[in-house]
Amino acid sequence: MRLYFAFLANEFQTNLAYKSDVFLKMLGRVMGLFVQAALWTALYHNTVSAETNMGQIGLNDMINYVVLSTCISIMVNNNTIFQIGDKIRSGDIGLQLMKPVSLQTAMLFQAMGINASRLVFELVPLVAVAAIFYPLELPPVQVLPLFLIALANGFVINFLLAYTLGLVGFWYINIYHLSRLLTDVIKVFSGAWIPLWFFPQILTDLSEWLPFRLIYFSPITIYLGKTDAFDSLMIILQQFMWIGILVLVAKFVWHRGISKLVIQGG
Amino acid sequence: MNSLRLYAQFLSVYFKSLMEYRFSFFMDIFIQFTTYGSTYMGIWIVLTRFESIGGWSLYEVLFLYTFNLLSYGICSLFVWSPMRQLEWMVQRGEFDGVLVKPMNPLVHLIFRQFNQHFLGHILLSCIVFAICFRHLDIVWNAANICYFVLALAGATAIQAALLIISGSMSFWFVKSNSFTDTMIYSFRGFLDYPISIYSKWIQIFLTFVIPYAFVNYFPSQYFLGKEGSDLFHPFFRFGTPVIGALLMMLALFVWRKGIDRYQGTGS
Repeated sequence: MRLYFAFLANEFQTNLAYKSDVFLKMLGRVMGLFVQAALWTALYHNTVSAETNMGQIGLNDMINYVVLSTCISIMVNNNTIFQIGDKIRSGDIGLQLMKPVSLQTAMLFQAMGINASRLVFELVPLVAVAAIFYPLELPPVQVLPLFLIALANGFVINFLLAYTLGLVGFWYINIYHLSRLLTDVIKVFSGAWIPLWFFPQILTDLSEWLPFRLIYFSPITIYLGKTDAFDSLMIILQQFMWIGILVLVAKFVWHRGISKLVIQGG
Repeated sequence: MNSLRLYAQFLSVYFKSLMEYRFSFFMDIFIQFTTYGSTYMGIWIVLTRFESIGGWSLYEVLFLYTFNLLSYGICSLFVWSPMRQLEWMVQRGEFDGVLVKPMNPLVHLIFRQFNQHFLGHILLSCIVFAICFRHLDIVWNAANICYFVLALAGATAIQAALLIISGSMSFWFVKSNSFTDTMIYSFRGFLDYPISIYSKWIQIFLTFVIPYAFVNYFPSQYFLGKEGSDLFHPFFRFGTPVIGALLMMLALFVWRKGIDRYQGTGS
């Protein structure tokens, strides 16, 4: 275990080297926040609240939703898919095979390292700036543990999706396409942009069968108190189920990929 | 004429190399359909639920968004890659190689770096425009058709000029791509919806400081017959071609200043 924490610490420090970008990135995020907040304010122009299958959703809920979604995007995004794609393309993956570490676990900890540094240098400033314009309401204390568990699980699900898709690099070398595809699907079906409660019925039904909503939408609904304790536990249960499924899929893809791997020269 | 023939040569070589990886070529284009298709889907979802945003209906917002996407797609076919790679070229001192060619450096960079990805943007915007035109009552008389072409050219020039200006920053700052990301992608995010939904200061900023509002908001206002706020004179609706030309001149000026500054990193 200590070995893997070394991966985490290493990645944390590497990320510190790019501090100069942090300000620009934050500026970008704050502007994105402005756009989203203005969008919902304009949409709610004629109504006070909208009737949905999760109760009345007011403008205030939506502003909180937008802030939370931005925060989650800082915490869950990773470049795992490119890291693994590069390893396969360059043949570095061969070196990985010789090391007595699990690639999957090492990369998970690397992703955690990056996100830990983002937490400090991007999330905290963003929340501080956002608080000036859109103060985030704190949830009741008893909701917090459930929210944090759901959030962590969402992070793992997002990681596993990126990792598995990265492994497809064994067959399809242009990893950039896969990454874009994943980003696009997550953009819509995770509720990162538009909450699922505004979706037409057919899309809501479809997203019930997909893991993406468990990354953004479900944790946020827990935070906002739109789900009761039982439903929140059900969400966490579903997350564990999906983590199980994705781990198995990743294992399967990994074994198929490795068995076809040929590394030239060295 | 001579340079056009030269460009045809550059393009044919470029496409030959692309055709070596034909599947990848088609994926480059297809993947734009998923990225922007999902954005269109999002706009469709919120506007079916809420009917209008700041008084703009679904097809009006689609028109607005597509005006931005199409002009971005057209300009990026030519200037996106050169400007994106400039940071790297300047760092490595590779830009020296461009300067010694018997050709205008900007033209040379554009000639040798076509970007096929943006064919996807253009194709998708044409499809969405076709759908919008069926649902919107735009009078297509000669004057409007002329202005549509002019406004599109102006919008393309604005987008290209902003790309060139932010790319030229490589001559002054070592890392300019993150600057480009903020300038292009974050500010452009405001264009997804009519700018009248933002606070007064943001509207003024997008009109006078980084004049993105001229890319799609003002022309769309004209074609869709939208009432504007009192903030801007109605004449602004016809400003796009003028702003495009002015901004392009500014961009070429900045570019030239940048080249003067470039000394090569030595290697």
